[in-house]
Amino acid sequence: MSNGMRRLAYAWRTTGALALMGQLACGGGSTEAVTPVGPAKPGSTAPGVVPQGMAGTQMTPAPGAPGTGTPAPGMMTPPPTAPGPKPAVLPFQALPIAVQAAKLKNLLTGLPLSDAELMAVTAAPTALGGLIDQWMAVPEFQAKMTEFFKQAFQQTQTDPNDYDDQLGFTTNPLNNQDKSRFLRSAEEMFARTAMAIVTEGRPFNEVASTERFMMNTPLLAMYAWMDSAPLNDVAKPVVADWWLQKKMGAGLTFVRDNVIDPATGMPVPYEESIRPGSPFFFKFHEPRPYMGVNSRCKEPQDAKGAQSLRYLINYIFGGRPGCGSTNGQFSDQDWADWRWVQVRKPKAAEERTTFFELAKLRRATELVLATPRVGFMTTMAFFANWPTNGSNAYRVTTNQALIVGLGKSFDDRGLTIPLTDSSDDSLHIQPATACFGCHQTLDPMRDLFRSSYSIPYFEQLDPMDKKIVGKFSVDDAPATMGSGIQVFGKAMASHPRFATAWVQKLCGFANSAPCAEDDPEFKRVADAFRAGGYKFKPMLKDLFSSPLVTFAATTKTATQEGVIISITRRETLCAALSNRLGIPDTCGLQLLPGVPAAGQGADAALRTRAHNLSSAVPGAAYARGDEHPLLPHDPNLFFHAATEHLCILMAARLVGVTPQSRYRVTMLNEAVADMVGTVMGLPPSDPRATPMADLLRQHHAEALKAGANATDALQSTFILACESPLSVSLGL
Amino acid sequence: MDNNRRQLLHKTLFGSGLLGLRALATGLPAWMFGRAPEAWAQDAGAYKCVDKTKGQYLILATSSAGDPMNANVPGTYIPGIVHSDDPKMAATDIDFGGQKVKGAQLWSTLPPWVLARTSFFHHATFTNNHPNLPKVMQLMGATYKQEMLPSLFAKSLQPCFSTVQTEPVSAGAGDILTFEGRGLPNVPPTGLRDVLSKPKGSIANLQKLRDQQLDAMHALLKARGTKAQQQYLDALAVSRGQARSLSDDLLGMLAGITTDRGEGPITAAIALIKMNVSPVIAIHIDFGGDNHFDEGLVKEVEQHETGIGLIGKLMEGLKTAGLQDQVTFAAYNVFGRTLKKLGTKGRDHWASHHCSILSGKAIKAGVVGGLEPKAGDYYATSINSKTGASGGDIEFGDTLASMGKTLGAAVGIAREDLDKAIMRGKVVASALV
Repeated sequence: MSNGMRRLAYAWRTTGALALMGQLACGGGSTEAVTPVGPAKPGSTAPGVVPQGMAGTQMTPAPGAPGTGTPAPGMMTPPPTAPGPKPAVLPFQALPIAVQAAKLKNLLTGLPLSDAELMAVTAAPTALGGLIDQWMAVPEFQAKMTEFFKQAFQQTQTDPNDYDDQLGFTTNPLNNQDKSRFLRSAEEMFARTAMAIVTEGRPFNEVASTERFMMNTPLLAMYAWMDSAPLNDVAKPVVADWWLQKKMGAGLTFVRDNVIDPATGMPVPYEESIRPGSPFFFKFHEPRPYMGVNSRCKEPQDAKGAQSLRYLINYIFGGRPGCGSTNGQFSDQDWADWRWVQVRKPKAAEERTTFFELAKLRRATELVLATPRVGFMTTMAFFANWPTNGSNAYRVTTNQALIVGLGKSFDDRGLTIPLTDSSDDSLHIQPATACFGCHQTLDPMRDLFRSSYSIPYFEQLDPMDKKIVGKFSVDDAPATMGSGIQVFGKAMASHPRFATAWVQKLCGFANSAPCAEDDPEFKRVADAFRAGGYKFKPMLKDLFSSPLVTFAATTKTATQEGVIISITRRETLCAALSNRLGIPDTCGLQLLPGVPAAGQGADAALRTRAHNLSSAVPGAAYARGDEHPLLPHDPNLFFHAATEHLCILMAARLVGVTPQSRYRVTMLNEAVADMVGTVMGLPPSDPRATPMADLLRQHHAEALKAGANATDALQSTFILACESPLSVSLGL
Repeated sequence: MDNNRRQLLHKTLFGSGLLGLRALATGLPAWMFGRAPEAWAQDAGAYKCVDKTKGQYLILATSSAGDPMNANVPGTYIPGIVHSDDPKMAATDIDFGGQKVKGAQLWSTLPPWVLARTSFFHHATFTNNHPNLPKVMQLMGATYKQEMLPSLFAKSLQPCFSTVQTEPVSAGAGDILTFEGRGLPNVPPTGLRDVLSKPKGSIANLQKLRDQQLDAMHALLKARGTKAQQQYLDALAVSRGQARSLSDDLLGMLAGITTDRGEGPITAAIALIKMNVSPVIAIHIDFGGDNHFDEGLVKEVEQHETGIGLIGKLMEGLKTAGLQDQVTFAAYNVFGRTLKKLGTKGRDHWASHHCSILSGKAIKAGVVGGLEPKAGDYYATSINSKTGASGGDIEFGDTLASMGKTLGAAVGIAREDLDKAIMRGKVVASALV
């Protein structure tokens, strides 16, 4: 370390910006509070919760407690909150039980609290636990959790081109409908898998090691395609190992044409075109002949050798490489036929799954692949989020997998030691450099990816790389050594930090802020999750009925962070509007940016506008290297403007004069009652319901008096309800 | 430029003659309506606008991709540094008022009046890691309480302009900014266009009536709420007031935005400044991206052409709006990229050299600092704080903080405030007019 660096380090220490600097690069410990704990009673103060007035009392630290102990060399433990000065925390005041219940139901289902539910929790706060069970049983819960899982497993935030490298072809020519559906399917695959694990009551830590996935037929085809057409580390096709190519012969030729069966006078069906022995074998009917000026694209168009298979996978998904789009081969049913699919290696002499045998794929519950697929960290969507390269060499993949599974990061986000030595791969991993500690542990771990995948995430074919022995080592848990991604998955699933990480993710989901991991109540919930065999729903119930989330009593977290009243972030706001008002995808979140609305459904123009508007409503997002997702919870002018516009957009859809209108202009009282109860989420027994209804009626009358017609007056009344603080906030 | 948006807010939503009544109706404390606009920012950062004539808005282009922006700037045309063979990257004399320095031909295409107020500041960022952009925004630990540079500046500049909000706006720059530890949302330019447009027709005419009832709802909820709920409701009311204070006539500027890339962020940034929304706007301009595999540096050339073109368009747009002397532009990223040929197709991450681009009325054209061969590639040199030349009293480890301090001085922040806010480095006097 140079003199300049020493002085810099001193400056940081003395300002308190990084008191732990010495620990950050290569270890150092977090401390863990130990308090005798027991189960929390819903809606009440749990044992282990810091009693009001004792907040800030220091507990005995227990270094090296399982799952939260001393980081391995290089493992970073940044503070759980965003850096920067923090405003003063207000003295703790518990939230009323009605507010707690409304917040939880909104989070779990997007639905408003009913009068019966309000009366139940008012009579006995312990009723909250039973209500949570009921809320976890409704279909809206599945949808909410699926959205949460997409974010938590980092399976979203992708666009079609992010998949190009691992598919080995560009998705540009795929028709917009298939492209959109492919992207959404890829993003949903693991969220659906996790949800199915939860629904079946299986241990949730299987998410790291499962080789069963929820898939639809197009995904089966795409995974089988990737397995049949591997690329090497420099993204060049390893045609010698293209098993389908070898089987079908180098002379294979794909033909796209107006292929008519002379016997029937009808286009040759797809299944006939893939039937060996057929006179139409590998001659595919073009349903939308090319109309452009590129003579190369005019039918008949052919492709030979390895290209023939690439043209075929494009054809199946509605693409014509270099020649625009055509109709794909998948039906609505194909995209919707989600089921469990077991991925396994071929047995001796067994053939792998053939990507173009669509009829077989429609019935398949197994996918026979040489490329391993294990846990959340080997899905197409995860790999699309985190592409690696020769310099990075799977480090980003490994690090992001650790962030998802264990809430731990190797990168030096929490480290502010300037890397003055070098940033060149060959130089900065030398002993005594700032990066050395990370690489000492990270590099053996990334070898578990390397032994299974090439750089673009195809099957690892290099015999030397396949044999590499990697080591999974995080914190003080025993290291696991071996080869292959299965080793990584099993080690992660059994790691003691798994429970901590997932309780923490749900804290963020509920509070828009992380919980203090040394909070005794947090530890109690995480320990119970671990001890109970990683059962997700019981853990969710335990956490959501804990004062960590309800703010029924103070906790160390509440003392440090305050009682967080939050805007409804994008996912929560949009789910609530959709579920309460019966408008699917109110915010157009399912639309693909950059894909013309016309390809995405009849009301896509309206949804495109909603999509743009909702982009200004802060949502949960993850970023490379971040252990904690970005969870903005404060209102700003963009939030207000966006929610107001969304409400205006919805008002026009909901208010009218026909019987189909949710709010009919002739039925003011019914409309107002629904707006208060459903949109604002206040059941009739809530003492705020009547005055709020009065304010809505008053506005309606004033609007009419100002010259508005009946429809506009009721629309404006809806907008008022929709943009009210109760509708756009959590915790009021 | 309408510097009175905040006053407008007070006059319309919270009319000055009705402070007590307004406070009663909304439940917001009366002080929030009655005090001077400057006081709003003092709450946030205890900074003040020392000299309004020197204050500058800041448009900051930044990227976590680590674009090769450092690789072809004036000062990098020395033996051993690799450039594309494309004529657009050919070594070209760039005249900085008598000082001629060789840089890529493309940099010479900036409008002369822009080049005449542009400085290329060579420094290091001390990280080679994409996720560390937020940390680079904190000058790698050199800012007071780890506040981000854009937020530090915004707190100081808000009182100078009475902008609608103090916090910087990320207009498509990504979810990278924090303000006092709070994450700030990123709003893409097309989202800004739709969100900030004013409602039309009869529904819009009823907005004032709705606001009255919203005030009443706030009062009702506050009367029954906890202190945390009350504080939140106050923030919610303020955000509504801010939205209402935006000028109708300027909102039309956003209508032309059709993309979140390219010119979209440029248009959005100029519009947000004309609307006086925030003193600091963060945008994204591509300069070649994460170009490990950029064989022949083709993408580097392409995106330098578009990127430099966009800087030119931004500056011309500011000139057209009469803002060229009130807005400073800066560009700095998470890291630079390797300068020597290291065996990869493109360029790898490089912690030890970067080049920020500073352009504005208070910036003196030229090159600050330089490069020296070291450890297999090129490092930024130490800098003479008086002359800006390579070698001097600003050590290598202080070059990033010194760039931040110099930029702070350029946007009009008082030196004593800068020394409190940025605990390392020195202002390079020769980089300033």
